[in-house]
Amino acid sequence: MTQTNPAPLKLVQATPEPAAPETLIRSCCLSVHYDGRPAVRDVDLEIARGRVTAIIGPSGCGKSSFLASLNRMTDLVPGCSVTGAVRIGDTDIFEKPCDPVTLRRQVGMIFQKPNPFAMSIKKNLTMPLKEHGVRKRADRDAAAEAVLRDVGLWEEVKDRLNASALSLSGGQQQRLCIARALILKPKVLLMDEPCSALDPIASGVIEDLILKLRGGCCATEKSGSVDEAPLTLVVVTHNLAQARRIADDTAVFWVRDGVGAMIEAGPTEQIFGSPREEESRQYIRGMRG
Amino acid sequence: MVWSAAVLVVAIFVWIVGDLLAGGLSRLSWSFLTEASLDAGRAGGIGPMIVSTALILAVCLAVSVPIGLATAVMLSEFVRRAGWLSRTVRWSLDILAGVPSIVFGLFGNVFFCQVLGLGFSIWSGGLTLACMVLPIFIRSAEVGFRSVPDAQRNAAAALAMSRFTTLWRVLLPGAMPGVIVGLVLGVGRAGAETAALIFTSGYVDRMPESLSDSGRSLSVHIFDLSMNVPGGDGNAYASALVLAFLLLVINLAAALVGARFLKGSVVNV
Repeated sequence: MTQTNPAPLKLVQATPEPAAPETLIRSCCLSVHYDGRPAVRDVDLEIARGRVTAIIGPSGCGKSSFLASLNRMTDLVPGCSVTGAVRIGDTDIFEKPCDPVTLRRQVGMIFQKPNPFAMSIKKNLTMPLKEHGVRKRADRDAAAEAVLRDVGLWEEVKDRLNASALSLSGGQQQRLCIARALILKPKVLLMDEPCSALDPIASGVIEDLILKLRGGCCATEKSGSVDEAPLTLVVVTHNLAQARRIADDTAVFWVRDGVGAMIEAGPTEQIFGSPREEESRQYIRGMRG
Repeated sequence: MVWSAAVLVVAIFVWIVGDLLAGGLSRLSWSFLTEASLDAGRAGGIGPMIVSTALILAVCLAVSVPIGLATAVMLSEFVRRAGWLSRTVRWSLDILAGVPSIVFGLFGNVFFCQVLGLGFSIWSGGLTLACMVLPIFIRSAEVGFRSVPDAQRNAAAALAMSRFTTLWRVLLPGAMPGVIVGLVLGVGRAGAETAALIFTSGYVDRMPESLSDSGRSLSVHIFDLSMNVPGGDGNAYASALVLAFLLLVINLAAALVGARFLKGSVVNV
């Protein structure tokens, strides 16, 4: 399944696509329940390494619940239980040797509403590094600069790194949050409607950033570190045009029998060009959902 | 109507402060603040009382701040809000907060002085005050912790931060305003407390030599001078002025510390 990128954006680099994308995340019969009521049921989905996968669908179809289960943020929700299995690489994330802290170190998350800590811009970035054992201040500062450059924020904030992160605009805050997630060098970045709280221009900037991050090309080239695994992005969005612009692959979620379910997944072109399911077809044409 | 209420409040405040200043200001001097009292307090200074008050407050805070913070964290972060444990603890605290201080005094006398064998001492006084301060402090600190948005907890979790770092670096700074308010209310209540201390730290007006000595707090001194010592009014006024001033200073200091913690965090939210 070779494919051309559907998004003719300037930032997309002509990286040679692997012949068959390797599956990084595989969910099996994954269901998420809140207080015993299922929100999304039996999701079997494969997410390819180094690509952008969009999850689309109407409200209440369990997109966000599915996403949150991928780095076990669902553990934090009282009354939430997850059944089924998720494998990321060789790890079964719900099984014993895997603990949420190790998992989340590898699988970062960006939320709908930007949530920088109420501290300085710099500290937002250096504190997580310190937590994860980067002892030298100079190393932390260098890493902070590198990720700020990656997200295109460096020029905007380099003179006020000690100002409160809350003094930034919404779009800048969201980019800071992305930088904060990237500084831990995750393998996967989950994004839960990262643009829906932003204005169109700010969301355009985030979209460009997603495409730039795809494959992890920028983090490695700028920070000059050794070659790393490419970044895999999973983006929940209810903005179809956005999914079409940024995603290599797309999964459609729908509400069936009152419960969320994944009804179809595949390369974005195919999902938008010739969807298999009737609901997807109508949703994509804007007739339902 | 509304205006008259406001004027009344201000008038009462001005009257009290004016009365204290008029009666006590002329007697204030460096020697008054440092010297021991003579003739049952009619003459001499209040040096030992200031030291005793500071020691009692120190014991009270050293005990109540760690226990209070830990309880507030437990209530806001670790137990389900509607669970029986949380409800029971909260209910107990609300009742404790309303118990008259004389009851705390008698309890302290029985428990700390007699059962634990601490006798009339600064230990007993400070620990009794801690019992009084804890309910106020815990509730206020808990509100502080609850006021930190869940988004911050999610951010910390998604960055794989440990529970301890999340508490220490993210939640505590966010909860600081509530913690400071609780501290100010608690210290205010403790510093002004009289009834609970008469029965626990006692009213020996010598300079305390250790925490196991009895020590007379400023508030007890004022009470004793004005009620039991004929001719002690002048020094009672001066002591009251000192106590009011000390509480004011503690309030301001707490406000400044709070402002320092808040710096860089209160901008558009």
